[in-house]
Amino acid sequence: MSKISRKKILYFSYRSKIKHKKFILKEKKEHNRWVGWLKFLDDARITALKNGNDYTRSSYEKQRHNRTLGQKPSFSSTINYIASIKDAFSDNHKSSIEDGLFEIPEIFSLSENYSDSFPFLKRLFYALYHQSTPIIQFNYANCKRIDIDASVCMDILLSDFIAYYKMCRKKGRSIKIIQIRPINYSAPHIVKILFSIGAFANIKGVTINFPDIIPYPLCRAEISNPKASAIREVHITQMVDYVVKSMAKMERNFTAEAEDNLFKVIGEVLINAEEHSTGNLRYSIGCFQDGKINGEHLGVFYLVILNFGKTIYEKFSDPNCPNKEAVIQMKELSENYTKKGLFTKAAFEEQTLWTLYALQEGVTSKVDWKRGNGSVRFIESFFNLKGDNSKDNFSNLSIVSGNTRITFDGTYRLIDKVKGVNKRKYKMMTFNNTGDIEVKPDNKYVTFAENYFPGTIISAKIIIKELNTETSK
Amino acid sequence: MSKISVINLQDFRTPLSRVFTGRDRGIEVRNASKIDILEVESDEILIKIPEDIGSINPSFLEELLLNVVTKLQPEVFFKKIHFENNGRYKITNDLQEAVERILREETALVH
Repeated sequence: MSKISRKKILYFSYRSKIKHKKFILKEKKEHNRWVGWLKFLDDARITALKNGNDYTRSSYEKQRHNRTLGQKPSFSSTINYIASIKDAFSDNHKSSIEDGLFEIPEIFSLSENYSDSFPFLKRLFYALYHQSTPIIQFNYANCKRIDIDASVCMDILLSDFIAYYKMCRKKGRSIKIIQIRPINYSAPHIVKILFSIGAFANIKGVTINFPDIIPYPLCRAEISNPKASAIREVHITQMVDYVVKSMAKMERNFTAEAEDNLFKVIGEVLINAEEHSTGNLRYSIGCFQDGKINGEHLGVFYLVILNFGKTIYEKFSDPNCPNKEAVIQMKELSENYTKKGLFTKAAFEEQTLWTLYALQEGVTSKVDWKRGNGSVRFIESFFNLKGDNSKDNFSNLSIVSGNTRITFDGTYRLIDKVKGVNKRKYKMMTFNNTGDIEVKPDNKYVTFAENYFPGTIISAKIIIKELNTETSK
Repeated sequence: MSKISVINLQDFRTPLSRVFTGRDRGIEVRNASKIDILEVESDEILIKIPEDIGSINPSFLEELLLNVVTKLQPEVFFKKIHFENNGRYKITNDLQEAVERILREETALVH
């Protein structure tokens, strides 16, 4: 049989018929896809027109290419959570034009300059999330101070987005952002922060040793880990040991009592961060600075512990909050406030009050625990650690949860109050001179903050005076 | 002769840690040490605290001792349960606070 006749046989064979049918189906499928794509473009154009948005026709080839790459990597749980909260950090909307130049605020601090720092974080989040510009530059030229609370939030956003971009690139997906870099950061105080506890140290792992500053690097812990409680104990120990070592550099040791107080401040804060969190991660970072104020040799310990997720108020006000008894008590107390007309919109709202209640002795959102952790405990230990009861205009501890901001600086102290059927003594923090939780607290210390933090952040700044220490042996 | 049971907290310690903290850990150690059973079987219990421990949080103690304190009440509890505490950290105040908190039924929000 000749070669040609053999091919003819193949052409009319059963296999070739199947092959032909498959080819027709593939063509049809591709055609349907193309028609669907045109329909999608038309719908997108109409929706954009309706909403007054700009419409740009995207390429079919690019979309086809992306489809062949498989599933897009997912954002971290932190990014997904922040993206789901419309007013996270600020109620600012995404700007239509993004030049990518981010001026770091003069005082970059969530506790002291929240009106500039929160909108900054919001704009950064939008730029990174929507990849609105190819180059992002952080200009430190006008920045005079960076606080750890703001710096760590920025670093968490940056590191999560950078990890996401890396994953996308690995999978062949294109990323619009090609460069993120700092500019004008040569001022010594900026270099010190960036290379000890700031972006260079946390994201790039590049550090510089400074004689007066000892950093405690950013630490992430998974709350859902079955061994979370054991991990927490190790983290508390590491942090205390780090402060002890820092003190040793000053040729000082903590007294046993001061060390116990430090364990309790850090421990209670970590426990609270975990108890009130709905997010999966707890972040902690700190630094110890050696210095002299008015000739007195001092150590200053900075500590920031935060989580993203529901706020303290949101957890208690959730209809599914397991501890109904605590919620009933809070509702009763806040009804009194409503009757007295003490709530004022955007100044002192129910959530401000409930957050303050949540910190009182014995209050917990968990139903399976008979009593709460007693958050007031860390406030007491915090003041004990300071070494004296006086207000030093420097040490403070602040809790920001959603729109609530509570600051402890020694102006108001814990009081013992005898309450209940059994006339037992309770430690209370009422932030007023009457010592009555049903009287409105001082709005300088318990306030409704305009900018919403999507979680809870606790930051402490503690002066450790010589009287709390002893000479190293 | 009276029977003395010993609970060495060193056996329940997280490696690399110098602290016992949190209710969850208290429950864990309560179950692992079988303190509630030992209390029934023994005349006295000696709880040994490792010398290099820096702190024990009252919340941890509250859960660890919850059933024992509730059953014995403070007077008998302090006679029956003893602590060996030779390190820098002293447990007295935290233990006292934990016992008080166990016996408390309400929270600070009560009228």
